[in-house]
Amino acid sequence: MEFFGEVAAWFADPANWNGPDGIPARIGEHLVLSIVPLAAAVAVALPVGAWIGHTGRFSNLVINIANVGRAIPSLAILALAAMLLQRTIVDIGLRDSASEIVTMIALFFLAIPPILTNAYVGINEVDDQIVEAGRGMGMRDLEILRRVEIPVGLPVILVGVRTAAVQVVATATLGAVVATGGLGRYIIDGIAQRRFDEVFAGALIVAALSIATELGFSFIERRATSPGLRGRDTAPRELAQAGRPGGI
Amino acid sequence: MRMHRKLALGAATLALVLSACAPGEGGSSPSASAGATGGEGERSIVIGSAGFYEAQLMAEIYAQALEANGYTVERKLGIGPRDTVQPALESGDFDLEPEYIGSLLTYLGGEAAGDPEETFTNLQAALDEVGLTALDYAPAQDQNAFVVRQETASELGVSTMSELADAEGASDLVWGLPPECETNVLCSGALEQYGFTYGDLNIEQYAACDAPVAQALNDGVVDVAELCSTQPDIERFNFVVLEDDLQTQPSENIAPIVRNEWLDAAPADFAEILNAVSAAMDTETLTSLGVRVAVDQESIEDVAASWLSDNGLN
Amino acid sequence: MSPPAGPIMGAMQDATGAVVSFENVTKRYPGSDSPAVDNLSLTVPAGEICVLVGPSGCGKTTSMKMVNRLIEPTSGRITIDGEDVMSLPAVELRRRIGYVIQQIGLFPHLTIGDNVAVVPKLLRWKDQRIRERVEELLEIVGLDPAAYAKRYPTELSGGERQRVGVARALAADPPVMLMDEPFGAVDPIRRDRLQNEFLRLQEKVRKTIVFVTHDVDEAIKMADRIAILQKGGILAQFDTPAAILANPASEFVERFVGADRGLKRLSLGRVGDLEMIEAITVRAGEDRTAIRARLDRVDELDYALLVDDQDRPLGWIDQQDLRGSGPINPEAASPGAPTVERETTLRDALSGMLGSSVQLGVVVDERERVLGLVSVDAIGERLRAPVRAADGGLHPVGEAAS
Ligand SMILES: Nc1ncnc2c1ncn2[C@@H]1O[C@H](COP(=O)(O)OP(=O)(O)OP(=O)(O)O)[C@@H](O)[C@H]1O
Ligand SMILES: [Mg+2]
Repeated sequence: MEFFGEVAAWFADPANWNGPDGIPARIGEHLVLSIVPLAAAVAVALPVGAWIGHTGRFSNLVINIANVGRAIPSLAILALAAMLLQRTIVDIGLRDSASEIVTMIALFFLAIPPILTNAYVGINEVDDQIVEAGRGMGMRDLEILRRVEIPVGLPVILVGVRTAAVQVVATATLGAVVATGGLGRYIIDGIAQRRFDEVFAGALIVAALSIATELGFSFIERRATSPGLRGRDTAPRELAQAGRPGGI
Repeated sequence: MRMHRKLALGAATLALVLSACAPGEGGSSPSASAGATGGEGERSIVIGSAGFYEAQLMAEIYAQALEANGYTVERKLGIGPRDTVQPALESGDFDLEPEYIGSLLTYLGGEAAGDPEETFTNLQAALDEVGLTALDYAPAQDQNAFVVRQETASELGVSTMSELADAEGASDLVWGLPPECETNVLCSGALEQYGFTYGDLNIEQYAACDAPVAQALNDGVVDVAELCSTQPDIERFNFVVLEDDLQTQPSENIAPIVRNEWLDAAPADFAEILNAVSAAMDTETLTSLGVRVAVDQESIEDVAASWLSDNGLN
Repeated sequence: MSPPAGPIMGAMQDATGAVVSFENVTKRYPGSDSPAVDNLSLTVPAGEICVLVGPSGCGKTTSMKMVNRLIEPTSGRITIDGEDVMSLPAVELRRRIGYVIQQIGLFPHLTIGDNVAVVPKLLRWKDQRIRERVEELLEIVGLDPAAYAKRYPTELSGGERQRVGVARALAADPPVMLMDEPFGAVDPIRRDRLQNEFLRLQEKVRKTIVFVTHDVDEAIKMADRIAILQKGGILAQFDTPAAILANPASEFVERFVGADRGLKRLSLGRVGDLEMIEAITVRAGEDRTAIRARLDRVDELDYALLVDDQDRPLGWIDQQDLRGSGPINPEAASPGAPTVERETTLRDALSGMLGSSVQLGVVVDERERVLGLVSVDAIGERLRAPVRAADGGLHPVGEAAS
């Protein structure tokens, strides 16, 4: 009970709302740390997954990437990214942002599997009859993809993006281990200095941000999905979410 | 192939991070145990240790050195953190353990000094209260240390902290320091002693003695990092440990701590055997042995045995 | 591909279809020894329905899909109005050929209106023109644009979806339509109505239609000409339904058409060919005495037909219920009057009428309004008349009957 009072006091302290390590600044850093890799992963994995789903070629690749990707712990991805890329990043003159870049690269790889899998599954699962109807009506390959497969597969595709987004927001916390800013600082610094009110407060903010992300993407999904597709089976979302508890 | 080894190394380092280093707390859980056999001149002893590999390695070295001299040794290695191990020793669950003199003194309520001799004297006084004795301490220390890359050391021409503070270009250095440094006299306080102004330093926040900070130092993200002096990364990356010439850090030499009850009845050669071991163990040696255990994944028994035979101690 | 000049009625007078011709077409799938379609040659005259029929796996779908190049022939050629289909880019070709598949394949994420608009959009018609065309087509297939254009396929019944599928295929007014078991997914009663509706539509639009089914009865009903395929994609017979029923070319055809060929010949005739009897329609609340008087004027009729305020049949009122005076009791009407349309085959009409207590069929129009009655006797009379093989083809009733 007393502890929760301390946490409340931490939130009430104006000092924690101002300056470079205040809550707004940390949330800002956290968002930058999350949005950049997520956007990059979407830009890469969505077209690749969609194309593989469309052609059916290299589908084993998707499945393997997804499985391997899920099996590697986030912390290991971060350590590997640091080990393999940090030197290069410093060498090309980005030393001051090396921590952030390493973290973003790790988060990028973390975000790939769910986006790739669901883009692939979403497109691949579109009823062959519908695709054939499109082809028979004179749609070109890209028209089939753009006018039929993507809109029909969209609910499943967006679930993948949402899953990735929530994971990235939760896991961006880990960046603090390699000296980035963001909300992870409250947790890592709090533990180091045995300030557990700060640790708990940091965890709460991360949780709130993750939930907000989840809700925001759910809203986008609802808005972007054709009413004609409502009530369809979006089971593949489980496929994307299974196996990874998300977060650290 | 090279990539492969690098990866394996990385994974090992990662695992290590969680348990390695710092004369501090180890991992595994406490274990209850039966009373140790008191030895009326009997060559039979129970050796315990904390959970992290360096403590286990030292305990194993003591054990094999004694066995080579005809002792029968029962091992209770990896018992847990200090607040588990220490009471167990005092209560006679076992007879002997390796410890860091500064940390143990602090644990017992004393104040560790930068000078090993002073620390040791104070430690022995504290140990008298609880019926324990520290045998000779080894030159090997596992203490927090400021570390630079080889190239930084040669470019700036520095090998001690004082030299670094005076070096031209020192103000451009990026420091990898833990978040708690600011409030820790042994960190920011020590740096101020050397003449650095903590607030002016260009700092990236990394936990001390951790794999990420070692990696960051190696990759050039930071130029000075706080590591532990026997951390395997130091050997792996060929870092230079800057001498703490003002002795700002408490001495953390390793010494065997033994129950008086056992020591009083011990065979004549007992202290001699362990003192010889301590005399031969310096920081570089301990670091190398740590690399073999934690990075190369050799067994603690093999590493202990080969070092003892290299030094003619078994 | 010229878009329709105006409302679809403008296209009524002549065939807008094109001649579709298979010349020695063979399709051999990779890795298969025997061809799926073997040296197929046949010509479908402009504006006719050619039904490909045969047992499962005989190559019907393969033959049909070679017309719009969803499958490309191994050898031989297919022409549309003399033009080799291989000489056009596949995409352009397909936009000029209507395509209806078995499961209809409506796009679930698009509204009905947008589904119909797909090909016009691919052809980059102006929005205004697309809107008008969509409304026109929905009306043609009997769906009120105001009620349906904004709905999604999941909100429609199977029959309604089927009509949308047809409307979509007709959108750019293609001269040729391909239909693969288009009525396969609907129940028999609805199926009969959809077939009738489609025949009425074809009477207006006169497309050249390649129609695939495995149901002989459907083939006989729908076809101007039937192509019967047998295993291995071999053409067993290509002729009018009447000719095939009268003279099966081989034992295979005879067996495929079935032992009840005589009965099947009934399928060549339509309800519209029969003489209709005037129906005495009554509405709830009418006076019994007056009804009795009307009924007495018609010899062969013992029943009055109760209808709703839209003239749709509700049930028979017999003499007993008409005794006495005062308004009739609508509860007394015996339901289940079998309704037929002018396009219903005599065979289907007969089986419906034999199944009901009153052996009369109620002929209704496309809005289910009563037009008149037909009797089992009239069908019997027609059966006794000599069958002329050449006369068996499709005679949609069209405007002549009204
Ligand atoms: N893509 C394909 N690859 C290989 N063989 C095929 C392919 N499509 C069809 N076939 C084979 O070609 C033959 C004809 O198939 P087709 O689909 O044209 O038959 P169908 O008459 O339409 O049958 P159904 O009434 O069952 O639809 C069958 O033996 C079928 O197995
Ligand atoms: Mg077929």
